[in-house]
Amino acid sequence: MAEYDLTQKLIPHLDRHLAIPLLNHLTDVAIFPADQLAKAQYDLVKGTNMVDYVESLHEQSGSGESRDFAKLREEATARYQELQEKAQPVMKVIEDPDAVAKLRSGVDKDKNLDLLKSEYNIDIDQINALYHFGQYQYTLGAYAPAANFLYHFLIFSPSLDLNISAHWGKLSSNILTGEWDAALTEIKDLRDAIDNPHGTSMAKPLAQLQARTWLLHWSLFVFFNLGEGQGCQGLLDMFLSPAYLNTIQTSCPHLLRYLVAAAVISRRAPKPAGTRGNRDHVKELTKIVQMEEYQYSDPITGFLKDLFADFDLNQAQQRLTVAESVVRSDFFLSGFADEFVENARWLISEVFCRIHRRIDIGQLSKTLNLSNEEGEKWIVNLIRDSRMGVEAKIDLKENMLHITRPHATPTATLIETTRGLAFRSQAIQFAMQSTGGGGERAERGERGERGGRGGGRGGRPRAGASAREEVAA
Amino acid sequence: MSFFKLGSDDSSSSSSGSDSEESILSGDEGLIQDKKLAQAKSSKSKNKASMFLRSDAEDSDEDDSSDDDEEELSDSEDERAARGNKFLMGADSTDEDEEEEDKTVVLSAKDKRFAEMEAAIHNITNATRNNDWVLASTELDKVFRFIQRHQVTVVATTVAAAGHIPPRFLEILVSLEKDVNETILSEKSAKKKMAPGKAKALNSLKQTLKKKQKEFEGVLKTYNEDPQAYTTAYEVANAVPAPKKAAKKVAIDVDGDIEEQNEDFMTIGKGGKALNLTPEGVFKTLREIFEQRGRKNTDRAETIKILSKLLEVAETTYAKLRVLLALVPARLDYSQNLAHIPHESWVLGLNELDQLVTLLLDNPDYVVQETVGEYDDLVEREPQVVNGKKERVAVAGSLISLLESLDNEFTKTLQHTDAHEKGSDYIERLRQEAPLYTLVAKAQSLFEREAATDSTARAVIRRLEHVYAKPNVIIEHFESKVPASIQSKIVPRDTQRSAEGLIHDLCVYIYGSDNPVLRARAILFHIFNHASHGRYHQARDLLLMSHLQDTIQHADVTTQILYNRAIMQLGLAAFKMGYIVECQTILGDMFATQRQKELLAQSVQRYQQQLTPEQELIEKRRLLPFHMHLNVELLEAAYLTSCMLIEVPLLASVDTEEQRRKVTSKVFKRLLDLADRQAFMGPPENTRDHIIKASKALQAGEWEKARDLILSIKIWNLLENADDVKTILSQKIQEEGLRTYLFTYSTYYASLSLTQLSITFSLPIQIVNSIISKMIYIDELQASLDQIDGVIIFHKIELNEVQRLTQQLAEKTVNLLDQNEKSLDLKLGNNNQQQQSGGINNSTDRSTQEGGQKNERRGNNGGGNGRGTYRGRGRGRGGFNAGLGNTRTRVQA
Repeated sequence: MAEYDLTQKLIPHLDRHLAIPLLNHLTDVAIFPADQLAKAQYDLVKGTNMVDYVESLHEQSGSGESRDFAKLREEATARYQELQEKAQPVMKVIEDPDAVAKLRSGVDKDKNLDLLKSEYNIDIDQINALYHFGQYQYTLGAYAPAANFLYHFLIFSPSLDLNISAHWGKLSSNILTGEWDAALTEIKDLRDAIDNPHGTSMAKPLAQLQARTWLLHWSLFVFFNLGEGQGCQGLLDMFLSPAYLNTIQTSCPHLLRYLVAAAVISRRAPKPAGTRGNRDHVKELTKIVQMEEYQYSDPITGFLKDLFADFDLNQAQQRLTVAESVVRSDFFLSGFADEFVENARWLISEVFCRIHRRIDIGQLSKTLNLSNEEGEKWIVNLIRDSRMGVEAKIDLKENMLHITRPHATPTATLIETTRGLAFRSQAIQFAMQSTGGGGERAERGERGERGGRGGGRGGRPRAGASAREEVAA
Repeated sequence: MSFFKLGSDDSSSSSSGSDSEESILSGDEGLIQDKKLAQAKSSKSKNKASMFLRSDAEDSDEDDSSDDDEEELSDSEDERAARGNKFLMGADSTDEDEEEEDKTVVLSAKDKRFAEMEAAIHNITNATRNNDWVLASTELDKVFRFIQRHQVTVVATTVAAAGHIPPRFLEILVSLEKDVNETILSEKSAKKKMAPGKAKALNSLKQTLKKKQKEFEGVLKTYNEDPQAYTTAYEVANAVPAPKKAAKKVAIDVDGDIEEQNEDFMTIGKGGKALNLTPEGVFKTLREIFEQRGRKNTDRAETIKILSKLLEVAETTYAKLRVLLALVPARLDYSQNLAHIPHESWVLGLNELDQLVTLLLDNPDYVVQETVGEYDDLVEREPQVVNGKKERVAVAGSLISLLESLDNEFTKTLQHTDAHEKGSDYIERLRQEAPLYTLVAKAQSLFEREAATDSTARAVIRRLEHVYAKPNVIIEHFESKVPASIQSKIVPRDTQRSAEGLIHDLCVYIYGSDNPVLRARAILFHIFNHASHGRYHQARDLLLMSHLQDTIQHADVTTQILYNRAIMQLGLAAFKMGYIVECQTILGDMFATQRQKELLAQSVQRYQQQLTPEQELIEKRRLLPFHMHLNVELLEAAYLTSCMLIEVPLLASVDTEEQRRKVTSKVFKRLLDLADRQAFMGPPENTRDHIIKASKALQAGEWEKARDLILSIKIWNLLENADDVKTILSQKIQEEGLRTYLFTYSTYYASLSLTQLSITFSLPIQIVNSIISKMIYIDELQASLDQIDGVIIFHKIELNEVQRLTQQLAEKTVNLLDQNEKSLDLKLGNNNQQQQSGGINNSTDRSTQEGGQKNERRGNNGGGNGRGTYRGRGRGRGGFNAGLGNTRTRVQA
C-alpha cells in the first residue's frame, strides 16, 4: 500500500502544522515502519514552537540529538509576552464595544485607520503587531486565538501582501481547529486574491501557480470534511475550473486521485441547485486521467479509466478492490471508503446494464464482488432506482437479468428534436421586443426556464444530445 | 594552356582556369569575369573595337596577365601604369625607382613575351591555313595587345626607334592581310557559303587589320620597302643596348637584394601607395584600411590579403585583437555579389574568429565591447594599473554579431551546396559544424565571463540551433569536441550530462532571459528535441504551457517555421507512440494546406505564381539547409495512416452522403474519392497508393490485406522504433477493422457471435468485448450484448424515406433556431459592450483581421481551422480529442 500513499507528495505543499495530522494518520494506518515515522514527525515539528509536543516526540523518536527544552520553553514564553504586549493596545480597542461600533459604521479601511490613529493613537506598526502575535500563536499551536487575531488584523490592515499571508494563516488555523465553514470562506477569499493578483507578489505566473497549488492542497482538508454533498461538489467545482485544472496537470497530478474520488463519491449525492450534471464530470475526468496517465496513475484513477475508457469491467472490478484499500488508508478519503465503493459499484453496474441485454446474475455479483444473494439484493435496489433509465427484470429460474432498453422510435426522436422549438422562438421574439436595458435579462430568465423544461440543463439543449441524456439518465 | 582549342572556347577555358586558381583570393574578379564572359562570347566580333571599349580590353588584359601566373602582381601594376602612359603619350614616365624595378622584371619577362608572340603568330598562320578565322582573330588580338605593351616598354628604354617594332609582327600583318583578301575574294566566287561565325570573324579581322595598318603606317612602309633591311635594323637596335643593360643590372641587383629583403614588409597598395607592414605600422595600416572601407573601388580581396599579412606581423595582444577584429568582418563582407563567401575563406574566417575568442579567453585583461570610451587607435595599449586595480583594455567591436554572421554564412554555404551531388561537397562543409559549435561554446563562455547577458543569450540560441535537431550521438560528439577548459555556468563542465540534459540546461537559461523572441525559440527547440526523441508528453505539455499556439501568427517568419517544424515533429512523436487521434489532429492543419514543404522552409513556393523576384529571394534565404529537413513523405505517411484508422470507421458509421461530406478530413477524402473513380487500380507504387489501397481493403473488411499493405510501406524503416510502430499499427488496424465491419454490416445481422468476431479479427475476446462495449456505451452502435449467449444483438431501426426526410427537416429547423439565437445574442452582446467600451472592440477586431491577412501567405502555420484545438492548456489539453469528439456527436445527432 505504501506505493500508493500520497503523503510524501502532499507534504511539500502543506504548512508544517497541517502536515502533522497527516503523519499522525500514517501512524494509525501503519503502512510505514513506526520508527521512521516517529523520526519524520520529530523532524517536522522541530521547527515549530510547540515545545511540549516537540519534547514528547523527541523522546519517542529517540534521536541522539539533545536539546535544552527548558531553555526553548523559556525563550518561547518570553517572545510570547513581548509580542502580546505589543499587540495589547489594539486588543484593548477591539474589546471596547464603542470602538467596535464606530469602526463598524465606517466601511472604508483608510478611514478606519485614520480613526484609529486620531482617537486611539494606534498606528500601522501596532496593527502589524497583531499579525505577528497571531502568527506566533499559530507556531505555538494555539490555533483558535491565532485565527482570532488574524481576523482582526485583516479588518484593519491595508497591506496587500501581509493580508494574503494572514489569509493563509487564518485558513490553516481554521482547518486545524475544525471550523470548516469559516475555512471555506477563507478559501474563497484566497481564491479571489490569487485569481486577481493586482499588485501583489502573486502577479507573477510562477508565484500564482505556487499559490494555486497550495490552495488546492489545503482545500482538501476543508472539502473532505464538509461531507459528501457540499464538500465533494465544492471540490469538483473548484478543481475542475480551468485555472485549477491546469494547475493540477502542471504541478500536482497526484491530486487527480481526490478529484476522481470526489466525482465518484458525489455521484448520487443530492446535487445543489445550479450545478452541472455528473456525467460531465466523469467523462471529463476520464479524458484528463487518460491524458495524465504518463505522469500519474493509481488504482483510483485506473478504475475510472478501465471503466470508461477501456470498458474492461473485469479489470475495473479488480482495480476496485485495490482502490478500496487505498481509499481506506488515505487520510482524506478514509471517511468515505464505503461511499466510494458503493458508488463505484453503481458505476460498474450502470455501465453493465447499459451495454447488456441479458446478464447472468451470478457473474454480475462476482463482478461487483458480492455474494449471489447480496448481488440479487443489490440488483433489486438498482432496478428500483429510476436513474437507471432501463427496464430490467430478474428471471430467477434462469438466474439472469433481462434488460429492455427503450429504443427511440423515429417518431420519438422527431418529437425530441422539435421539442421546445416554439418556446425558444417565442423567447427570441420577447427578447427582440424588449431590446434595450432590460431586454437581455428578460431573455436570460426565460431561457433558463425553458432550459429547465428542456432537459434539466442550464444551457441550450442541443438536438439529440438531450435525447441521449435522457436515455442515460 | 593549349591554344589549339576553338576560339569560342578559348576565353572561357582561360578564365575558368584562372578562376580555379584564383578563386580563393579573387572570387570577386572571377565573378566579373564570368559575367563578362557571356558578353564577350556574344560580342567576340566586337573585340576589334577593344581599343575603344577600354574596360573590355582591360579585362581581357587581366585575363592574360593571370594566364601567366609567374608574373608578379607588381608586374601587372606596372603595365597598368605604363598603359596610362600611353594615353598620356609619354607626357611623363613613371617614377625613377619604379622604372628601375620595371626593368628588372621586364627583362626576364621580355623573352617570355616574345615567345608568346611567336606562338600566337604561329597559331595565326596555322589558322589561316585551315581557314579558321575565329581563332585567327583572337590570336591576332593577342598579338596586338602584346605589341602595344611592348611598344610602351620599349619607348621607355634607350632602344633606337628602329628597334621598336619587331619584324615578325609586321610580317604577320602583311601576310595576314594578303590571306584575308584572298579568302574574301575566293569566298565571293565559292558556291558554298562560309559558316556565319567564321564569316563574321573574317570580316572583323579585316577591319582590325585596316585600322592597325593605319596605326603602323610608317613602320609598315619601311618594312614593305625592304623587309630584310628592317629586320637587320631592328636587330642592331636591340643588340646595342644589351650590354648597357647588363651593366646597369648589376647596380640594380644590389638594390634589388635590399628590396628583396624588405619585400615582406613593403607591399604596394592598389593606388600604388606603399603599405607599412611592420609591427609598428600595424595601426596605421589598419586606419588606412578603415578609411578605405565602404568606398566604391576598394578591392576586398586586397584588403583581406593585407590584413592577413598584418596578422602575421602583429606582435602584441592588442594589435592582434585589432587586426582580427578587422579581418573577420572583411572576410564576411567579401560576399556582396556572391551567394555566399567561398568555403575556404569561410574556414579561414572561422579559424580567425576562434583565434580571437581564444585570445580574449586567455587574456582576461582585454575586452571587446560595442561601446567603449574614446581612444586613439594609432597607439598601442596595454592594461594599466590604476589605483591598485588593473584597468582592462576595451576594444570596440561586436563579437556576437561576428559570431552570428559567421554562423549565417555557414548556413548560406550549405544552402547553396547541392546535397544530392555526387561529390561530398556538402558533407565536407557540414564537417565544419563541429568546430563552429566549439567556437560558439567558447564564445558563450566568454560572454558569460563578461556578464554580457544579451550576447550570452544569443550565443546560447546559436548553440541550440546547432544541436536541437540532431540525434544524441552527434550532440555528444559535438560536446566532446569542446575543450574541457571552457568554463560555463549554464552548462557546468564537471557534471556528466546527456544530450537531453544539455538542451534542457541551455533552454532553461533562455527561459530566464527577457527576450521574448529568444524564449519562444528556445521553447520550440525544446519541444522539437523532446518530440524527436519520442518524449511526446513532455513536448506536448511544453507546447500547451507555452501558449505559443495562440500567438504564433504574430511571430516572425523564422519562428513560425520553427513552430511548424516543432509541431510536425510532435505529430510524428504521437504517431510513434500510437496516439493516432492526436497525430491526425496535430498534422491535420499542415496537410490541409498542400504547402508542407514551403511551410517547413524546405522549398520555395510553387503554387503562387505572383511572387516577385525579391520575395523569392527572401524565401530562398529562409530555406533550411538539407540536413535539417524533415522527411515530408514520412510525415505524410503518418498522417494518412492516422486518417485511415480514424476516417474509415467513421465513414462506415454514417449513412447519408451529406453526413459523409461533413466528416472526413478533406485530403484523405479526396484521395479516397479519386481512387473510387479509377476504373482499375494497379498495384500500389508509392506510399500514398499503399495507404489508399489499404483503406479500401479496410472498408471491405479485409483487415489482413490492409495490414499487409500498410506494413509493406518502406518508409516506416526511417522511424527508429519501426518494429514497435508496426506492431501498434497492425493492432490498430485489427481494432478499426472490427469497428468498420460492425458499422458496415450491422444492418444485415440480427445478432453476431462474439467468439466469431474474435476469430475473424484474431483479437482476444476480451478486447472485442471492450470495443463493442464502448461503441454501445457512446451510442455509436445501436446494439446490446447478451452475456449468457455471448452474442451481440443489433437494434438498429432503418428509417424509411419519409422519416429520414422529416428528421432532416427537423434538424434544419433546430439549426435555424440556433442561428437566430446566436445572432440575437451577438446583437444584444454587442449593444452591451458598446455601452461599456465604446469602439475599442471594433479596433481590436480589425487588428486581428489584419494579422490574419498578413499571415495568409505563410502564417497559416498550424493555425488554420484547427487553431481552437490547441488553445489554452485547459481547453487545449482536452482539445486534442475535442475536435474529433465534436464531429462524432454531430454525426449521431
